[in-house]
This record gives sequence, structure tokens and C-alpha cells, in this order.
Amino acid sequence: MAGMSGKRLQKELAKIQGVLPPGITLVSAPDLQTWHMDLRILDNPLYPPHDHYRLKFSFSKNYPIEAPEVVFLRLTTDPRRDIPIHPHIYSNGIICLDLLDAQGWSPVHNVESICISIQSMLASNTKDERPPGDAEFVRSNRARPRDINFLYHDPSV
Amino acid sequence: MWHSLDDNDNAAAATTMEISGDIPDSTDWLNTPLKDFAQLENVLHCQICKEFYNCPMLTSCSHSFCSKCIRSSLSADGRCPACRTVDQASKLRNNWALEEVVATFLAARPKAISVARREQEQAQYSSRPGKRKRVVLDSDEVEESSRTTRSKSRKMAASQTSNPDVVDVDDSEGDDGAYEPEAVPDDGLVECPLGCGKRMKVEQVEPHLDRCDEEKELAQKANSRKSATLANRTIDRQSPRPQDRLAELNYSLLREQPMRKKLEELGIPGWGSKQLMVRRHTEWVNLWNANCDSTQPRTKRELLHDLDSWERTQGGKAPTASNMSTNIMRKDFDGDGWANKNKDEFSRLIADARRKKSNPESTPDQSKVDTGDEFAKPALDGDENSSPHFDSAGTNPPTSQKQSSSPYANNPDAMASIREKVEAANAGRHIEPLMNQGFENTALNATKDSTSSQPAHAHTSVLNPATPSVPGTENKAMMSDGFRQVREVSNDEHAVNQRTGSPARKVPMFELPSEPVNDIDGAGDGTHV
Repeated sequence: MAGMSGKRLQKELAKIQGVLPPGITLVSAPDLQTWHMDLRILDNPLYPPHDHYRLKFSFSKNYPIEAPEVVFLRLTTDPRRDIPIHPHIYSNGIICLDLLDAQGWSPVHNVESICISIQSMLASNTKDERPPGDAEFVRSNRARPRDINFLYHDPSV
Repeated sequence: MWHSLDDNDNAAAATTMEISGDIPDSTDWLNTPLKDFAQLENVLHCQICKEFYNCPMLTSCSHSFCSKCIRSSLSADGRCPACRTVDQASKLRNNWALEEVVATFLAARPKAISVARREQEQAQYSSRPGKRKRVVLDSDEVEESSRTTRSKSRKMAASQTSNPDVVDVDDSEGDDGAYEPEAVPDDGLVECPLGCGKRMKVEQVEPHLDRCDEEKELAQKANSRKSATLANRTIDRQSPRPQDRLAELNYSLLREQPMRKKLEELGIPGWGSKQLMVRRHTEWVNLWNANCDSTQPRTKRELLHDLDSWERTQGGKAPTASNMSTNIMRKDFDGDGWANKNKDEFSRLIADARRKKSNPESTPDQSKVDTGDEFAKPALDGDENSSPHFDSAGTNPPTSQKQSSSPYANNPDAMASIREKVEAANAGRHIEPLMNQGFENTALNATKDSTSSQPAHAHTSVLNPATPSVPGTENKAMMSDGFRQVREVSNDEHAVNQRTGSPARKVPMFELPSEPVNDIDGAGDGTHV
């Protein structure tokens, strides 16, 4: 079962190439290591409905036992993608979401459910702000997202 | 999730699946009158690997997963993946009923899906106006009137929601061998030329031929799996388990040597760090115990093969994570070790930086190299001084004092200068340390000038080890060639630094040694500001 991640990702990819919930689109999945997804937030005035946000998924060989690494990407060339403003999303694209952390992750999640979680996290947002200490974190952080110990203090999202 | 997809898009998804090679998948059902079976098939999937349950196990919280899946998951975080309840691998129990359901479903699936597909194709065909419709009507006239309602409802089932009753009737009709010969004249269908016993329209024979073998294989596999399951279970009840489950170890109590011994006792590789051995042992325990759960235990050789493929993908022989994230520091990076190893280098750089700060006058000296002031002058001793450095710098990595002291050996002017100093020292005057010689601002004679430019040369050539080494001769032409090379190198250096110096730069946390920081700054100030 060493090839569990490959088999499972192939299945997920087949599903994803079919139909996805509104606002979620697969951009590219060149291999079974890195996928790109585009996200649209449908009913929140903070995020104009025509704005897309690019998510990058990086899967380890241990997926789905291990959580994938999910970050927002900023693209400056066409198509332009920005990092959505949210009190739990740092301006370098790192997302503070318990689902993506080792403690919060569960193998029953999949790419689609992660996308839906992030989408709903953005859709329910009312604060037009970055996390506290964003500038400091972005400047100093060199650790991988999964190695950062976030403090999940906000149960509302 | 994808259960709740709507109809039109599903059709597209299902057709792409069929085209892409007909792997059994729950979406196979979506395009047929039996599309509720997609849901049924999904609940027979393990939520971790998304495959049909392979030896399902019940957790204490009554969720089911494949044995291997749940064991891996529990050894990773000790919680049920579905409800996050704390659980232990030793509390898992076999879910025999579910295993039987899966085996039975798998055995029945190929026939069911072919029937469902046939229904779909017929429905599509008969909804088109033309010849086929008349045939249906003809046969309806011949047969009793109930037949008409069936074909009508069949059409409806295909276009909207499925009707289980209709499906059942059609199912028995299609699969009942005794009924088939009668149906021949009615339907105008032909039998599969490969002899699988299916009946279809002439147009459908071609696409069916591709699928026929696969379907038969699947059916056989599922059948054998089912019979094997049942056979083994009867054996199982009679005799106790042939193999005992392995216990999980308390890894933190075990030292490296006993750990290695333990692994070798188990017959699995005992090399690598303790961390790796722990991971290998965990994997082996999971493989082994999952095999104990299974009704069809595999041999140890097969398990070892599995472990070997684990080793190659995730274990010690796995490709390093470099292809995935080159810009990110390794998780287990030994920062202290690296700091100790490169202590000399770091302290030299710090010393350089401090010295630079206290002697800002040295900046113009260094910038000369790059601006070409010195280059424009007829090559004097400055060139000669630079030449020996190629040899030493090209072969040696920059190592503190040695770098700046050894090159003087071949340099008559420098040696003269040193001797002068020694004499001065003997005479009781103040001695400037050798390292600082170039930065001393008193008595700027030609010799000192030349020595002062040396650190810059040394560093630039260090930066580019590919620089061809120029033997330290007195040949002027050759010297100026060498000097030009130095200049080129330093230009490159600027380009590099301009790039890596941008705010978006990504470097590992401890990557310092190859860039002498002070020289870059000095040169940058001289040329670009």
C-alpha cells in the first residue's frame, strides 16, 4: 500500500475533472504532487464574484494520512491572482486553518472538501484585514506551513 | 460531495470515464437508469483510500475502514478519521458482514452494470424517431400490453429518475438465459460474438467488444474473491489464527542498538537512523497486522516486498524532497551542527564585516577593482598580486587566515612589505596585523595599495571556482588577461547579487558561506550608486 497517495489522488482527480461545486475549478494537475485550483467566492461583498484566487496543493507520499500543504498563490502575470484578505490568511498565502494542520487533519478529507472549507471560510468573513502580526510573520517565516504551530483561537470560522 | 451532482454534467463526467479506460468507478452508474447504485457503491468505499473496503475493520466508535488504512491513520494521529475519537489499533475488530457485502457486490457488479448500460443505450435509441421505434411498437403489439408501459417507463427512467421496479423487471429479463432465445425475433438483437452471452443491437457490438473481456475478468475476480472469502472464513472458524499480531513498541524507551536488533529479529532491514527505523517498524507492524486481519493472508515475502516499495517511496531510499521544495529548509535540518561546522567561516565573515565598518576608507580601494580604475592603469604590481590567488582560491574553499596569508609567498612585493614590517616590529614600532594591512591608511605606497586590493581579488575568484587558474609568472600580457578575468567575474557577481538581493529572494536559513558580504557592498557602492 505504499502507493496509496497515488491511487487515491488519481481517483480524486478523475472526480474533480467531472463536476465541482460552484466557484471551484481545477486549473492544472500536471502530476500527483502539485495541483492548482481556482476559487471564487460567490456571495461576499469583500471578494468580488469575478475575482479568482489560486490555491496550490502539495501532496506528500503519505497523503491522505498526512495533510496536503495548501497555500494561496499570488500571480502577477496574466491571469492575475491575488491573495484574499482574511484575518486567517497571511499575505504570503499561508492559511491558518486547523483542517490543514496535523492535529486537525483527517484522512477522510479530500481536495474538494478542503476547497469547500476554504471557500466557506472566506464567504463567512466580515473583516477586511490580515492576521495580527502579518508583516512580521511574512518577513521572518521560513518554515513550511505544516511545521508552523498556529494557535487556533477563533472557533467562529 | 460528488454524490449530489446534477444529471447533465454527470453524463459528461461518465462518458469521459468510459473513454479513459473503464476503471470500475461509482460514476459508471450515473448515466444509467441505475444511478442510485452510485451512492451504494460509494458507501462501500473506504473513506481513506476511496477503494472498496479491503478487510474492513470496526473502530471503537463504530466506523469502518480498510485494515491497512485505519492502522496507518491511527499510528499517525491516534484518532478515528471520521469522528476524531481517540482510538487504538489494538481495539480494532473485523467487520465481517461488511466484507461479505463488498465481496458480493463486487461479484454482482459487472453484470448489473452491463444490464444498466444496455438499458441506457436502448432508451436512448428508442427515444429517437425512426426505425427502432417501430420495431418496439411491433413487438409491443405482439406481446401483452404491459410491455408498452415498461418501455415507456424505461424511457422516463433514463431521462429523469430511476425506477427500481422497472429496473428489476428488466434485470431478470436480460439475465435470464431461458428467456433469451424467445427474445431473439422480438428485439432484433445479436449475441456477443465473443460469447459472453449478452445481447445487443448491431451498432453496439463494436463498443461492447472493447468492454467484454474486462467485464468478464472483473466478474471472475470478484467471484474468486467472494469464494475465497467464504472458503477462508470457514477455515478460519476451525483453526486459530496462524500468525500473531505484532505489538507496537514504545519507541522512546528503546535505544538505537536494541532497536536495530529488534528490526533484524523481525526480519526487516535494520539500517538507517533511529527515526527511520521507527518509521519502518511502524509501517511493518501496520502491514503485518493488517495481513493478520485479512481472510486471505499473504506470505511474508509479499509483505517484505510491500515494505520494500514503501522504503523506495517514503522510507530511507525515497528520493529526497528536493524536487518538491528546494527553497525550503529541511524539517530535520541540524542548525547547530551546521553552525559548528562552519564556525570558522562565520566568524571570519563577522570579522570582515566589523573591520569594514570600522574602516570605511577601504571601500574605494575595493571598488577600484570593479570600476576599472586600476585596470585602466598600466598593470603594475597589483596585477601580479592578484595572480597567485587563482591557484589557491580555485582549489581551496575560503578558509579564514590561510586564504589571505599564503598567496604572499609567491609575491616578491608583498614579501618585501612583510619583511619591512617585521623589521619595523623588531625595531619596536607598532605592528599592524597582517589581515588589516590593506586597510591601514597610513603610508600609501604602491606596495600597500596593491596588497589592499587583494582581498577583493581573492573573494571574487572564490565566488567563481570555474575561473581558470593563471600561473604566477611575470608576463605582463598574461597578467592583464588574468585581470580581465577578474573583472568579468566581478561583473557576474554583481548580476548575481542584484538578482538574489531582491526582496523576493528565497534562501535556506543558513546559506551564507559563498558570499563575502562586505566586498559586495563595497563594490556595489562604487559602481552602481
